[in-house]
Amino acid sequence: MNDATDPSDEKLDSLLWTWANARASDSSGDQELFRAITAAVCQPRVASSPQVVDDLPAYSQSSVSQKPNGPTAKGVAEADRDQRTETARYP
Amino acid sequence: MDLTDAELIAAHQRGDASAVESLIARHLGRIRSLLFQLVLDRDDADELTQDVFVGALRNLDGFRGEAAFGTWLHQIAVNMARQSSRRRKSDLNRLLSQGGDSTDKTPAPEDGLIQREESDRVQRALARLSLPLRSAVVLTVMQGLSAVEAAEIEGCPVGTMYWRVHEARRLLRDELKGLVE
Repeated sequence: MNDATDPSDEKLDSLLWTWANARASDSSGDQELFRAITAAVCQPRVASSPQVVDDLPAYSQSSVSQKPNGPTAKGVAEADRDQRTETARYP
Repeated sequence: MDLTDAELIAAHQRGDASAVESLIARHLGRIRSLLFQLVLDRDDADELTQDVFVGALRNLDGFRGEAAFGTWLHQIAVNMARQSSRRRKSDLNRLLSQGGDSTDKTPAPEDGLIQREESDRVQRALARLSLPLRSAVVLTVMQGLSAVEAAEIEGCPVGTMYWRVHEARRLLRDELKGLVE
């Protein structure tokens, strides 16, 4: 949207855009985040029981406000660690 | 030739695992930037970015294709930022009192386009806006969306979106006197 007609609005928009662009150009951490997301999206489908996946709420146009309650990468890693601990404790 | 989002979603639903990676790679940078601009904290933005993609991609069966996939991701991101803002108000107050984002490890831009002091002022001014006003200016000015697209994402009338952008600009001009006059 570029409907700033007031000169000070144009300066403001330019400043905001420059601020945002300076941040957007910083891609450090993108790869790490990419790996975490792909691991969380793909691996639990194999590792988890089918019920866990089936219980996830479905997103739709009318329900985008729902926060997913599926496991995050951090949660999956913690669950795996707990499972390993349980296995070690009760072989 | 690059596949469209709709083609990648169809490929994913046929069991093509690489399609998900392509979708993430295509939209990650923009959603991550959007969330940082909304919550003004790098760590929270990254956590929310992960939640957005995991939630969306694990529930693709619920995506009806009535909006573009990118718009759908924006809607989820804005909703998640709204939910997280309720528990993050104290963090934003700390940001305002400290004068900057203590978790922001972004080096000061060296190209002279915007100095660190200016950047901190912009960030504090954005933090003082309510989330609906901040979201309006982020979606339209920073993300370059039309008022119609931003209203669709926010789930509000277009007239409301125009008012929010106008009000956000007025408040930001006051906060950023000297930089925009």
